[in-house]
Amino acid sequence: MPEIQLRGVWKRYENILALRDINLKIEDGDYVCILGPTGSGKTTLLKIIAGLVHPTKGKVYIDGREVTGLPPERRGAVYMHQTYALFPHMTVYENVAYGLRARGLDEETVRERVEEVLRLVNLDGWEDAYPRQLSGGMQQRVALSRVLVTGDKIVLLDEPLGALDARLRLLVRDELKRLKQELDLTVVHVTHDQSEAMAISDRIILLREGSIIQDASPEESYFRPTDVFPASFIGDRNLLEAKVVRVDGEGAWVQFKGGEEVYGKGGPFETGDLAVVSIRCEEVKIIDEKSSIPAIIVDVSFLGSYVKYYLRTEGGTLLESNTSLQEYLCRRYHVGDKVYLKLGEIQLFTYPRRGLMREVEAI
Amino acid sequence: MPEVNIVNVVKKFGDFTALHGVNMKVESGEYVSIVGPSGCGKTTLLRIIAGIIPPTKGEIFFDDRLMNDVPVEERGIGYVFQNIALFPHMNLWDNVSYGLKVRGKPYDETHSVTLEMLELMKLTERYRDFPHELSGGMQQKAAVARALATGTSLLLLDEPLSMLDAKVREKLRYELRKIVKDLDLTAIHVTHDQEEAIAISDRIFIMRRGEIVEYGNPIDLYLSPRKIFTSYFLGESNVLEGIVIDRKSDEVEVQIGNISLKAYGEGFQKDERVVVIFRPELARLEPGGSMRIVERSIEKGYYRYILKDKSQKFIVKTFEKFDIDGKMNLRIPKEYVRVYKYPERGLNNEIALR
Repeated sequence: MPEIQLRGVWKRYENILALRDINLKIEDGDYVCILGPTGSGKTTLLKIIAGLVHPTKGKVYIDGREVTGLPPERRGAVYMHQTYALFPHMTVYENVAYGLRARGLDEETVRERVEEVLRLVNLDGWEDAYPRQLSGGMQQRVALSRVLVTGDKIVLLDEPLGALDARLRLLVRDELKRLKQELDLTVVHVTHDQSEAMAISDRIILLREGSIIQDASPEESYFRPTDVFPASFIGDRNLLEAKVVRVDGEGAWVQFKGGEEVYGKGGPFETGDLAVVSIRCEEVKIIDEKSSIPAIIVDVSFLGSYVKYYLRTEGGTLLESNTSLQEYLCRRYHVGDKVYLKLGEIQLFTYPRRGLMREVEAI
Repeated sequence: MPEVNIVNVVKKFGDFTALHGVNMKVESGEYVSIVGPSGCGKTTLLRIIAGIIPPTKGEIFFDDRLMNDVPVEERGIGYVFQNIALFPHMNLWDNVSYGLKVRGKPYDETHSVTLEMLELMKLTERYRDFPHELSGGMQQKAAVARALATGTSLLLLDEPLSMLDAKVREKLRYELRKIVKDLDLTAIHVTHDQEEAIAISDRIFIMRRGEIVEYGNPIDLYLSPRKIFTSYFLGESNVLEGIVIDRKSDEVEVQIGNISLKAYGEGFQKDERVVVIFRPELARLEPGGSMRIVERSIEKGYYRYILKDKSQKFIVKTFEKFDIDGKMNLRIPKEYVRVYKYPERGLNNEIALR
């Protein structure tokens, strides 16, 4: 049972604190994404699990056994570097066989295992090709084969899709998921791309400035962010400043600078507090009936599977509405159109100490 | 204001032909992107427009003026690189004003233009900061400011956002487009990212294997492309092989595994092998069919499902939530389904990302 556990892990590089008090447990068979902006400590965290970086403080366990002092090759976990360089002068077969031969396995076993892995990643038939003859996606699969052929059940992937074209990434996402299932792996995958994390993982660990900010399933991360930062980092949201005018039930009535009042859940607040209003862009609906929020369309962006309307309410509040492609094809609005808005689910957060702009800008 | 006209441009590197006679016309004030998979020739084309490398054959015109023999520094272009190329030892102010100083502009002009550019990028407060003190997004905005400070009206951008975090990229692409439009510039933007191209451009040129596959505005290319590759490349599509089982004047019915779909299309024969394409977000799911949900995730507000029916795989994106393993039926209005002749050299070759 390859379960990974980190207890009280800190990492300091000279005067930079890269990780602070990380506690987490990754269950056997999970596909976990470590998500965060550049410099949040995500690669450091992965390398600590791999044994490539030693924590300043704290302990690492794999399978219930402490591995903090063990070298990478004795942890049963294999790490794939961001820039997976293939050996250009070796064929696909030799690239994949390299690690096994280095371990001194006999040629028969090597062949069996390399062939099996290449079949798995749909590269059988390409054994004799050289990396330069392969597309980016195929090269990536060769790199993955080198990792999988070790037979280790814990696979640590550092931005595995970063070197690929955007379109190819969408294909390889599905592939990684399939491989994890077929081989019964535990995968820890580092990325700065929230949509990648949403698409691929069972669980998202969101890091910022070396700390875990939220640790939840993709669905929960998306619908129930715990604070302003996760709300701004995952999904696509309107985050607006407002003043609490009345506390009510599990939330409060708040007023935007432009005067509109809305009700949202969250708190605790007191009347007069500043709050951050969080509304997912797809929860801002343009409706035909009159509503208490008249607005004007100030810009329209076609984005493929959806359309983003940029809106300004009569009071001057700026809102973004994501409208599905189906709705857009039925009814299109144009810049200058006067419309009415209905706001769906609203969450309220405590106003951040460093201010909303700074909190969001820090992305 | 330059209109850019590229006529029959061929580029060879030794035995390798990077561009096979490319023609492209960019109107003045247009924001155009050139998008395609790695190795398609898009960066080579941009460098030829800039004058960084010469074409093997063909002509480049800016506003009817032949530019082939005009060196890069005299073409009056602003060029923004993928790797943010600010001078690390200079603060933001000095970086942005550099080009003006080198050109010997008077102090007053240098000062006012630099200030204007910083204000445009909302970076005025950070003018004394050195590059390493700025976020990646700010650095790239500064690079754009520096490119624009010399007063160019043609901006060439080579993967300007690809080094940035995904979330920063989304914000910056909107800002970038706005700046280009507000200043009434012409922009040619190279990217491998189809989402970025859709979001940022007035028109997209899709390239593959040194050729332009198709061009047009984002909506038309997304919804009604002429080429199978266009549909496949510009975001996720269901690209399926099927057999025509029925046809009326302007309508066909195609069998794909266990299901059949209707579409508008003329000139197809019964029993003809065809390719059927539809966008995942234009289909709907209903409980009670033969397709099984094998995966569910969340994507841009939609639930994204992978469904299997025998060996056939479908992708559907919808707001409705269904359980994994649920048996479903797929519905899609025929105006959203497109039918294409089966490509001569096979479907895999047609959609290959290289």
